[in-house]
Amino acid sequence: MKGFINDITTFNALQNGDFSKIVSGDINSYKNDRTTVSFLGRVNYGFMDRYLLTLSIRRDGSSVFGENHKWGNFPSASVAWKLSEENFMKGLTFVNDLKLRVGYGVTGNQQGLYPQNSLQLVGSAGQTYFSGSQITNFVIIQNANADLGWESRAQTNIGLDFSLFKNRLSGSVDVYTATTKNLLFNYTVPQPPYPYGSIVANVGSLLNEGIDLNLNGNIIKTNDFSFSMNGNLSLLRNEILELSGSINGVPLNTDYVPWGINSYLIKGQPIGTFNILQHAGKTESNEETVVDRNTDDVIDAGSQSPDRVIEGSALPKYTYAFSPVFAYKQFDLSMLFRGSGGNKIYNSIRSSFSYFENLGKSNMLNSAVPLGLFTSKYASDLWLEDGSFLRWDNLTLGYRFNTKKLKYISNLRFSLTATNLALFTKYTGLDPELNVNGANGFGSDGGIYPRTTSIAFGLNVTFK
Amino acid sequence: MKKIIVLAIFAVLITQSCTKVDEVVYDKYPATDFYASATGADVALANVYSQIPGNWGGVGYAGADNGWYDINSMSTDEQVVPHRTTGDWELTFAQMYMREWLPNHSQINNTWNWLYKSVFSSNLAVDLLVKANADPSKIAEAKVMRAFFYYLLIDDFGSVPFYTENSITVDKMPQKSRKEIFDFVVNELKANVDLLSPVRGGAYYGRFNKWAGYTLLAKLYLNAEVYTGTPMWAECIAACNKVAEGGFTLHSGAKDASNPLGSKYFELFGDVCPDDETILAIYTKVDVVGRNIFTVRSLGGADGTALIGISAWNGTIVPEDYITKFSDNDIRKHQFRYGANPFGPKPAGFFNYSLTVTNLENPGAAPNDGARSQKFWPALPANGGGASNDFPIYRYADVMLMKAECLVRTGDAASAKTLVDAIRQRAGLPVLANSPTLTDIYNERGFELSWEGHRRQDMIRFGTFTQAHGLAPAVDDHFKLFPIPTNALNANTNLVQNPGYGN
Repeated sequence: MKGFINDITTFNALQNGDFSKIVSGDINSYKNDRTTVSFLGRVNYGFMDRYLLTLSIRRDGSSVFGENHKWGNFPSASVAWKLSEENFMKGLTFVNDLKLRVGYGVTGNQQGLYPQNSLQLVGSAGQTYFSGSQITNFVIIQNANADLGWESRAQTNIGLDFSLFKNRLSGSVDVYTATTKNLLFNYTVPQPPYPYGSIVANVGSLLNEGIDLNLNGNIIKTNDFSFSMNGNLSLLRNEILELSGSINGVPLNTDYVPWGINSYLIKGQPIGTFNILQHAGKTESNEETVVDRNTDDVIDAGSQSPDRVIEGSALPKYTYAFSPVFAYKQFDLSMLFRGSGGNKIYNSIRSSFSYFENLGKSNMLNSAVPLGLFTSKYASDLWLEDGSFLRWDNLTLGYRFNTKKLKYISNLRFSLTATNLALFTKYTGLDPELNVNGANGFGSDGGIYPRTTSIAFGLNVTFK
Repeated sequence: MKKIIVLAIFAVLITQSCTKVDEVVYDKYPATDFYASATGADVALANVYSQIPGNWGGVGYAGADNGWYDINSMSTDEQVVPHRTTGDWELTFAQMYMREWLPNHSQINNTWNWLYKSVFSSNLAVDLLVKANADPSKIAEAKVMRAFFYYLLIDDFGSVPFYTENSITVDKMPQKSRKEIFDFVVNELKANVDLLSPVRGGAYYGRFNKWAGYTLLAKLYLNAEVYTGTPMWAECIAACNKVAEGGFTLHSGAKDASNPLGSKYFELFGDVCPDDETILAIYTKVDVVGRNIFTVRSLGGADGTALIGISAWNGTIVPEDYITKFSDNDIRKHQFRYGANPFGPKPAGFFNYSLTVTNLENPGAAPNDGARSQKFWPALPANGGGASNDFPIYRYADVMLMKAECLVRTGDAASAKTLVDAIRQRAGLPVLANSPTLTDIYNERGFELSWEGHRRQDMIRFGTFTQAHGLAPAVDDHFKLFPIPTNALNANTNLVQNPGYGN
């Protein structure tokens, strides 16, 4: 074939050719595959309708891993005990149902891996000039990692399901702890000796633990009026246990991985921990000053600088929701409230709009720059805010007409639905629900498109 | 009654083919397959050259921003990008000029990464060319390029990790002293330079031929005292004489109305660096092979539109104390733009830049403060991402001044006068009244080689680097070396930071 440096990729990567009159990118093709093989065994055992045991083991292999670690074993076991079936519980008549669950399981993860992620690859990278002409340049575009293997998550869970007082109150409590090992991550690596600046590898482990509480209550129930309430609460804690490890026998010292503006992955801290300079005041020329914590007269803004201090995390410590439902004769009314808290937000957009140098210079109100700051070299905790909020997310009001006397209509309901009715928060930005994931600005508010509030009227008719 | 339910599923697949999970690559080049051929080895050599043009992300020798060129130029008295009162421009450039850098400075980090990526490419090329039994001149070329990158490493960072085999792991990579690496580079050059092609231009334009190799060797000898404590002036003169055997001459400095700056001299910084004087150039074609942003980065926005049809960046300025040293008769002064009647074209709406700048950091410089550089008058194609001027890494005027400097330092100032005079006369200046002093040489290097990436090395060799100049106060001697970047220290805990930078 003309215009190809060799025939290794045949017709599977046409963009590797050098068609002099065709703009690069005009022609493209690709081909890759992912082979996953699984062996699975499972045993279910029930005894006297009270004790339930499930055991399973699976052995999975995937082509996307390095040649040394294509296979992984993932066992799991769970036991459930229906306490309410036991004789000694028979006397407790207010208990309708009570079940205790204990489980342990390991699961494997290959998400986020693309085929060929473990191989050293060469790719074209623009053009270079050599021997008097412009030629296609080829570079190493991926580091080899023969040890790339499964990410595994071992979770232990204890739960209690209950239903009490003639099923008027039901719910569940779950306590869990999960450790994720061999985290798959695209690590930044040093350039010696790696030819490429990052490598997909398993390094690090992460702890997630928490309590989930679910409650459903039918509080009032008369012929004309009923009131019920559903609610849930989750407490969560997350800690990075380990970030360093080794790749191909080479120690990899990873820590303080940038995860957003001032937020990092730090060993021993939650994901997205804010490690930030502390605001102190301003100079005579209205430039922001920060605290020189190690008093060496140098403000070091480096990620591991001793001048920085840990001030919370971008991840919420708790989330909750509750939903009251009323019904009176033909009226029904339901609402949904939800919220979260314990997290911090770096209000980046407020920072930008608070320096005089970034604003217009004439016809401006003093109140636009209340802090009187002209500029700042730093991104300090002056802009770090509490991200707790409670949102009134939904309201539905309905009226069901009596259709018994109508000849053609079997069902007629009129409804009013409103979403995003109110937000209760101390956060000064537009909305504390930032909706950003991953390492791209985690926990910082660079401005979002505002959430809309909507009100919808509905008419539901069913004809006979 | 007991109820027992046992359900078991065992999926056992016996056939071997179904349980294979080997990776099959269809649309990528696995490195082992790719390089296992003669073309692969050639491509590896070309790839080493592809490291040289400047590009986004702080890579390359010169042409783009935030990399080797910026830390070696902005840390001197010849240029800086000030923070502007309008909030434009991050402080990283002014920190370079004020000598306020810390080990986490992004441009220092970029430079380190670029240099080690280049060392890796060179190691790979040497290895592959040797295995492929390639022409000895190509093996020598790859080795000389590796020597070039190690020379740049010891020049900026002193004692650095050293490796010539890519299979080494980071924990086993020794940090060798500046002198040890200096010796390696000199020996590697002495063993290989004569194997390089003597061809100038053509297929060797932009490549290390024999003459570029000797120029590199001369650079090492010139700065030997800085690197090792022992001067090697005589060796430098010998290497310069070797370069002269290549038959280089000074390019013409004659008037030329067709040149925007009025002299053929500026062809040296144009689309193609002329072969008569240029020893080693960087081939540049914007957005294809590198870019040359230097004039686009310097001019003010609408001034760029008026002058070259490109909205420019209003970035780099030339400090006043640097410009005022130039004689008004010096055609090289035409590289600067300031005042109501600047050199070069004056279309409607051109800017009047003030020569004086009072502040670089806070509140910064007013938008039109500071003289601009048009030395690399944008060669086409050009756009907002830069122009296509080639960049002279080494040219003969530099070698002549290097030789003159060594002659003065070894007590033969009379012989140095001819060399310095030739350069002055080309620039439209009279010959020196007396034999040149070291100060004359130092100033002449500033006039002739400004914005060509030599200034930091020259200021360190002449002892002026840490002195106060312009708006920058005098600083401690430890600033003569850049710190090893924080990222490199974190990656390899065996590394020892340079003195004065903590740890």
